[in-house]
Formats: sequence, structure tokens, C-alpha cells
Amino acid sequence: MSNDVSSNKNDSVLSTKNGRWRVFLNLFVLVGVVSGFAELVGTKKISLGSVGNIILLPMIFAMVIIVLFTPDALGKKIEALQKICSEKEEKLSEEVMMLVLLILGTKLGSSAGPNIMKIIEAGPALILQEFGNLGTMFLGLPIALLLGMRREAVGATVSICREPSLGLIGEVYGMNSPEGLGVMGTYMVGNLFGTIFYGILATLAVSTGIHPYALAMACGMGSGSMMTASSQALAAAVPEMSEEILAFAATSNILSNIDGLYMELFIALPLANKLYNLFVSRKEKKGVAM
Amino acid sequence: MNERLVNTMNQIKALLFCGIVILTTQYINLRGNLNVVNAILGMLIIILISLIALKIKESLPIKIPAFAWASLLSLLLTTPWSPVQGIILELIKEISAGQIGTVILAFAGVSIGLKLNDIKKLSWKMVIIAFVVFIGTFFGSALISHFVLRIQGII
Repeated sequence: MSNDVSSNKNDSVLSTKNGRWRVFLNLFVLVGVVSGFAELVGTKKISLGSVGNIILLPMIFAMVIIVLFTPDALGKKIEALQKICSEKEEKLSEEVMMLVLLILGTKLGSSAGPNIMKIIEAGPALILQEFGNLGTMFLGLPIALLLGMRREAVGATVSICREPSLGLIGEVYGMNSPEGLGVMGTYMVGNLFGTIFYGILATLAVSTGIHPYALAMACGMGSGSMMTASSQALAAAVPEMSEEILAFAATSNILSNIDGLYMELFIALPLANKLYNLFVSRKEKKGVAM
Repeated sequence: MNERLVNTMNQIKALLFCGIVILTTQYINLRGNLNVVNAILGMLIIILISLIALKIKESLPIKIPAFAWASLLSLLLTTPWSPVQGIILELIKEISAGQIGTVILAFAGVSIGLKLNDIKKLSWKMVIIAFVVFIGTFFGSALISHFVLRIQGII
């Protein structure tokens, strides 16, 4: 029986058999201690004068502090750390994070439910703003081309390149194609810096004059951790609207989750290719004219 | 015991562990001012909904993440027309999204550890392009919503 179990990939990671209790214990105690510590540090506000405020929530501290414990960070220098946090704990953590995201999804749904009338009223905005996700390529593609990318640009700017996009681009072009390299690049940057980037962007965006409701809808871009960081930071920046902000962010994220893959396949990818052809041929024509 | 059952038991076990860590974080955030009984019951409800979401995702062929099912399910259960709205909101309100976020990002931090070496592979150009892409989707969505909400007279 235990052989059957370990043949399933998910199962062996979440299993506590064969001495894996230790891995569980290590990971959950480490996460508990660091999360608790981060909450004791609390929320910090950095004023940037007229540009606005940056709000650093405990979650950002928790993430930065705990990275230090991983084997490729301080673990390299302090070997004892590797007993608490090794590659086994990291793999388990990836799997467990998906489960904690479900807990968050449930909690966020419950902040949307009581506000259902407001959400229905804002329905047109919520649905139409999904097309705003195409902003990735309108802004990103020209800049990627200017920086010297070619077909890589299509992969890198087709979306925010989370796991479903890797699968999609991998299937259409293959992971070793230029498009595959591009999607992988944005994916890696998102992994390393995306959460912190959005946490800061959302609070700075308050001073652009765009209404917090609209910013809240923008926070639901289809990645759980990015949505968490941005919507919580936004709610902390505009506390008097925090209930609506969380409700709109949650609903927008549900929509992005539902339409994400299909939108990317049927709209975003064809459009990125059209834009690519438009920009590249225009650039070459210019080159000839000059 | 079949494989599917073992799998489910493992998911329940891991969810319960997550629940304990989140409740501890919540307790520390409130410096002990937590209605512990309600918070535990609230967490159990959340875990149950999360589990149902997982099972819906596992049994349907369409590619919609379990996260969306979890939100959708609890959204429906907490609308004013739901008979269980009162009790669910009463219990779930003890747990805040911010503290769940702290725990999520702590887990995210540990798994980033696996990818730390990627930093060396990234060129500065790639970092700039990715940031522009992130800004693009955020403001693309924000501007459209702002515009539509304005036309509707909501803001």
C-alpha cells in the first residue's frame, strides 16, 4: 500500500509516512514562529512625500525573513539551518501554500458574499476590467522589443506568466522556444519579486487619483499571493473602504481565475502575435526609410 | 483504504496544520484578544469549504483552480439569501485575511528558496520587462474599472 501512495506525486509530498513527520514539524514550526514574529513587528509606513506612502505589512516581513532560512541563503553558511529547512521542507511548502490559498479564498469569498448587491451593481466594471489584463503586452511588448528581445517578447508579455501560462506557452511553442524562454523569464521575476512589487505598487497607486474601488479590482490579477499582497496593502492604505476593497479584489480574482487560461489562449496570445508583427514590421520599415 | 481516500486524509491533515498556524498568528496579532472557541469553529468551517472546493476541482474536467471554487462557494454561502449566512460570518470574522496572508507569504518565502539560484540567470532587462508587464496589467484593469464605475455613477 505504501508503495501505491508514494507513486502519486502530490501524495508523497503531503504524506507523513516514512519519517516525514519531522519535515512537517520543521516547516510548520518555522512558518509559525516567523509569522508570529512578523505580526509582532507589525505594519510599517514609509512616507515618500508627494509620491505617497509605502505600507509594509507583516506578510512582507514574514516572506523576506523566512527566505533567509532557506538552504541557498543563510543555510549555505550555517549548516545547522539545513536541518530545519532543507529542500524537503521547500517542496512541502510549495504544496502546502496551495492549501493555505484555499483558506484565503474561502475567507475572501465571505467578505464578498454580504456585499453581493454592490458587486452586482459594479458587475460591468468587474467584467470589463478583465480586458485590462491585456495591458501586459500593450505596455510590455514595445519595451521588450526596444530592449532587444524578439520572439521572446511574445512569451514574456502575453500575461503575468503564472503557472497556467507556462503550461499554455509550453504546449503551443515548446518550453525551449524563444517564446518559452520569455514566459519563463517573467515567471521567474514574478516568483522572486512579484509579491513585494505588487504590495508596494498598490499603495503607491492610491496617489494616482484612480478610485480605490478600481484599484481593488486591479488587484485580482489571477495570482493568489500577488492578489493577497496588493489587496491587503491597499486595504491598509484606505482603511475606511477596506471591506469593499477586499470584496472587489476577491471577485475580480475569481473572474481572472475562471477566464484566465481561456482568455490567454483565445485573445491574449493571438493579440500579442498581431502586435508583434505590427511593431516589428513597422520598425523595419522605419529602418529602411532612414 | 484506496489511494483517493489516503490523498484526502493527507489534505485534511495539512489543512488542519495550516489552521493551527493561522490561528496562532491571529492570536499574536490581536495580542491574545481572540475569541478562541469561535475562531476554532470558524477555521473548521473554512477548512470544510476549502476541502469541498478541492474535491470539486478534482472531479471536474474544466481547468478552473480550486481557489476560485473556494471563493465562489463561500461567496454563495454568505449572501443575504443564504440561510447559514449569519452563523458563518459570525464565526469566520474571528480570522482576518491579513493574517492568513502572513502565513501564505511565509510559505511562499520557503518555496522561493528553491528558486533563489534563478536570480543569477536573470538579466536586468528581463527584470525591467517583467515589472513593466506587472504595471501593465494592474493599471490596464484599474483604468478600465475606474472609467466604467465613473460612467455608472458608482464613484
